[in-house]
Amino acid sequence: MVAATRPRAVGDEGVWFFITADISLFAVLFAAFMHARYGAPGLFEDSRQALNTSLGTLNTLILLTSSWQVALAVHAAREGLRDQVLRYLGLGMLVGVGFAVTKAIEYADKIRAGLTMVHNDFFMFYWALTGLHFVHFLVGMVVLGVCLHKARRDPLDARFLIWIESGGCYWHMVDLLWIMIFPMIYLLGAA
Amino acid sequence: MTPLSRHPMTLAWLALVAATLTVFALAEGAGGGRFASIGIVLVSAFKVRLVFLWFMELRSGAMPWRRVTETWVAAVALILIAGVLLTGAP
Repeated sequence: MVAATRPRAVGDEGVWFFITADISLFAVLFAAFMHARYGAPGLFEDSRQALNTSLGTLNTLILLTSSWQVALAVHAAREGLRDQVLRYLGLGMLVGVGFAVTKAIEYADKIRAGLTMVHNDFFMFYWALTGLHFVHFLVGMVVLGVCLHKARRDPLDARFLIWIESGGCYWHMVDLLWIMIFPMIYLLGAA
Repeated sequence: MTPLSRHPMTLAWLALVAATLTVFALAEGAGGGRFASIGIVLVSAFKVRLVFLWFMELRSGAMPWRRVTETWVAAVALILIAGVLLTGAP
């Protein structure tokens, strides 16, 4: 009798352990933010009003579009379509650069207005959470760059598939973390 | 390869864009009211679930990661909704 094979997650199993640990850490930070907000709703609401929700929405759309391109690259890799893998990965990175540009504009604006990490508790969380997320974004761009380099040079075999699936999952994690960080900090009314 | 316009990843992306615009409309329209805030959390949780299931391909039911991610989405949504109910505007 042949044992039924259970569906397995795409990419390397170790990446899923990392993703689980990372999103768990962010869940704790989300709880810490909501707890601090509970203690000072007026301050958190006034500070939230200083944030640019249009820029935050644009950043969400940028990351979603970049994630879509990377997901298409993974599917193209499974079919051995090197030109499409290169095109979709390249587009995914190019769109992703837009996130860094809008974040730089936003951070410069906040620094000019004196809304730095030491301004108050809200901005301590704002810089810590968005900053930690931005570090994840930078790591993701490097990972996608490595995948792009390998897609040019290496055969599109099972080894490459593990690379692009794992890198893709990391990139989607960057995307989904922003999907929760953005409404929590920018949109939820506190008072 | 499936045409781009009918590719499952394109359909997932379109649903995510529509949900993002819904979140923006809720935020702009209700200015941070309690019900709008809860709506924003629920739509955002739905978006995260779409990313897990479609972009990260957990819809096949790969365990234990499917269970772990579903639990994470529910826990984060509960944390945010509890925060809104405790401190949000009426």
